[in-house]
Amino acid sequence: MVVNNVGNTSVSSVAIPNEVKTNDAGGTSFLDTLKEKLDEVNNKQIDADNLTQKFVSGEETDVQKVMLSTSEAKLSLDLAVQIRNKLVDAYDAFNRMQI
Amino acid sequence: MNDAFMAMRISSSGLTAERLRMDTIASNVANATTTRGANGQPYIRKIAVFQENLQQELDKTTGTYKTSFKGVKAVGIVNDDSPLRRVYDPTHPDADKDGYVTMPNVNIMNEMADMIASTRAYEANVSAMTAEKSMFSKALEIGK
Repeated sequence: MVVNNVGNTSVSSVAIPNEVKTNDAGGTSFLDTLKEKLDEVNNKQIDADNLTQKFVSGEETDVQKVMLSTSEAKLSLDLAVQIRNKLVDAYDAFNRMQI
Repeated sequence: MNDAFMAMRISSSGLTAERLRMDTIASNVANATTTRGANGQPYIRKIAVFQENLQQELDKTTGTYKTSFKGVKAVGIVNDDSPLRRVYDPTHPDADKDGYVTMPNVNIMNEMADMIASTRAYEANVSAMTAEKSMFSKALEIGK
C-alpha cells in the first residue's frame, strides 16, 4: 500500500477561499499552517505504513507499537477530516451570503 | 499534536514492559529443571525490574522545570537470590556424591501466578489505551 503525499492536493484549494492567502502581516498564513498540519497527518500515515511493513517482514517484533502508530494515524486523519468539514461548512456559509 | 497521544504512548510502554515480564516468566518456566545454566551452575530465576520513566524539561517561558510522564521502562533483568532447591535423585547425571541434584529456584506455581498478573496487567493497559482512543474520538464529535 502506497500512501501518496496529500499536502498540496485539492483539499486545501477546495476548502479555502483565495483571500486567505494574502497575508500582509508577514506571519505564517492560515493556508501554510493547514498545509503543515496536513503534512504531519500524512507523515503519521507513512510512519504507520512503514512500521506495518517492518512488522510483516519481521524487523519489528512489538505488535503494540504497530497498533499504536496505526491508531495515531487513524485518529489524526479523523481530526483532519473534522477540520476539513468545518472549513467546507464555513466556505458554504460564505457562498450562501446575500450580496 | 504529539502530546495528544501521550496517554496512548504511556500505555504502549506498559504493554512493552508486560511483554518483557512475560518473556522472563517464559524463560523461568522453560528452564524450571535446567541443571546446567550459565557457567555450569543451575539456572537462576530471572526477574524483570521496571522503573517509572519521567522526563524533566525546562519551560522556556517560566524558567521552571516541569516533569512529564513517559510511562514505564525496564531497567534490567536481575537474578533471584533465593536458595536453589536440592532434590534427591541419584540417577541424575548432575547428582552430587550424596545423590542430591541442585535444581533451579523456580516454583512453577509462582510463575503461573505471575503469568496471570502479567496477562491482567497487559489487559489493563490495553483497556487504558482503548479508553484514551475513544475519548479522542468522542472529542471529535464536539465539532459535528
